[in-house]
Amino acid sequence: MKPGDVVRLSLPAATAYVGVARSLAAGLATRLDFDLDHVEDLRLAVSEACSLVIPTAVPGTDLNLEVRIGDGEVTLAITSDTSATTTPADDSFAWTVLSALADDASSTLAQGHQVIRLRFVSSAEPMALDGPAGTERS
Amino acid sequence: MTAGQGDAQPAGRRQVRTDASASRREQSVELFTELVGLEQGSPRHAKVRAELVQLHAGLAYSIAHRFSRRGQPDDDLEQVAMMGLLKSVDRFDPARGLEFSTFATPTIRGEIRRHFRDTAWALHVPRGLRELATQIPPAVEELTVELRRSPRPSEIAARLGTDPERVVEALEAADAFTTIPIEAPSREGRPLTETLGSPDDALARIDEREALRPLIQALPERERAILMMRFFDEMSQSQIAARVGISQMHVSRLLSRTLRDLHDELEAASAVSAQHT
Repeated sequence: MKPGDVVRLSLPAATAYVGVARSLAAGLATRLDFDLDHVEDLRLAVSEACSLVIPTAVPGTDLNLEVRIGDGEVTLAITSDTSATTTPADDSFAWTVLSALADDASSTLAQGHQVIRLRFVSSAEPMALDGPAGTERS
Repeated sequence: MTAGQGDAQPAGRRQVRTDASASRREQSVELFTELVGLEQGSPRHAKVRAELVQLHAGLAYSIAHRFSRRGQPDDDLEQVAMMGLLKSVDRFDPARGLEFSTFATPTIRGEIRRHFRDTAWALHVPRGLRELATQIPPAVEELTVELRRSPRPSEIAARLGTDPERVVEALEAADAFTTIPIEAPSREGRPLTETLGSPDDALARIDEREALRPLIQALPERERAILMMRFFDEMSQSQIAARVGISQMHVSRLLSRTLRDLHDELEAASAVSAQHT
């Protein structure tokens, strides 16, 4: 696995397949040695992005997941043929979740083609373990 | 006829060995017969027992050496084989008319196999995924505290002395078959509300479809709190885990489930409202 590699998965745009997309993204991130928090974030983000695009996907079309391996990061693109006329609102619940999970989240819509792009950086910096547990241990 | 010819050649050598083993067999029968009549723990019993072990030590060594090419130091194996021999001497009943070596060989082998299973095999035989999956959560907990962040699979693998790919597989397997305990213990004595504050402020920030707000309000307290901490306070799963007093993996599963439930309910709610309009 090296920067520049791209993994693509094409699935029917139906919720039954979301788990497969999650597993693919998580499996890749785990093998790229992302820490577990980031892997879980990725997993959740794929679910969210899929549930965002599936309801408006044109019946019978495929959902495409593309994972582009970068240098210490991955970029996911979830693409669908859509009947939606607007991109998700910035303050919608799903978008709030996605932008909290990903380091970058963007969405484009052109000619019935919707793309959600999510970037995840594999930073594994120590952080303050907030709250009672942190104070007890110090 | 051909069999007779084949036997003829090594007969000379065999004769010598047979003499030696015949006398050893005689000696052995004699000693065992005596041993049976002796009081266990008496000095004479101990002496006869030691002589028997001495007499059959060659058997133990030869079995040990058959196993010695498996990466175990020879003296370890010899010692284990001697233990097996000692057990055999103690259990052997000469009255049953069995040859001692016939009786002792499987016992000694069994002892060596058990030794391999307990020591060397634990390192060389791949551990079952399930077993590995159960070792991961405690390792993750430890490493999270030590590193002050959630560990990478390579770090978990190093801690457990296994291959990163095995850890990846075990994590995937764990994801597939682990169920969430209904009530995980939270940090003792302190009600969650006290530690976490009210989610209402965060909620006020989302101008979401009206349907979502009551659904979030209706979530169990802990699930709602975790959801808010993750998506509105942007705390990491490990930070939430430390705050709430459950494991990061548990936080992850609760979050996944909560989001899934919210989506399902949202779908159901919109289906109902569509029917009503």
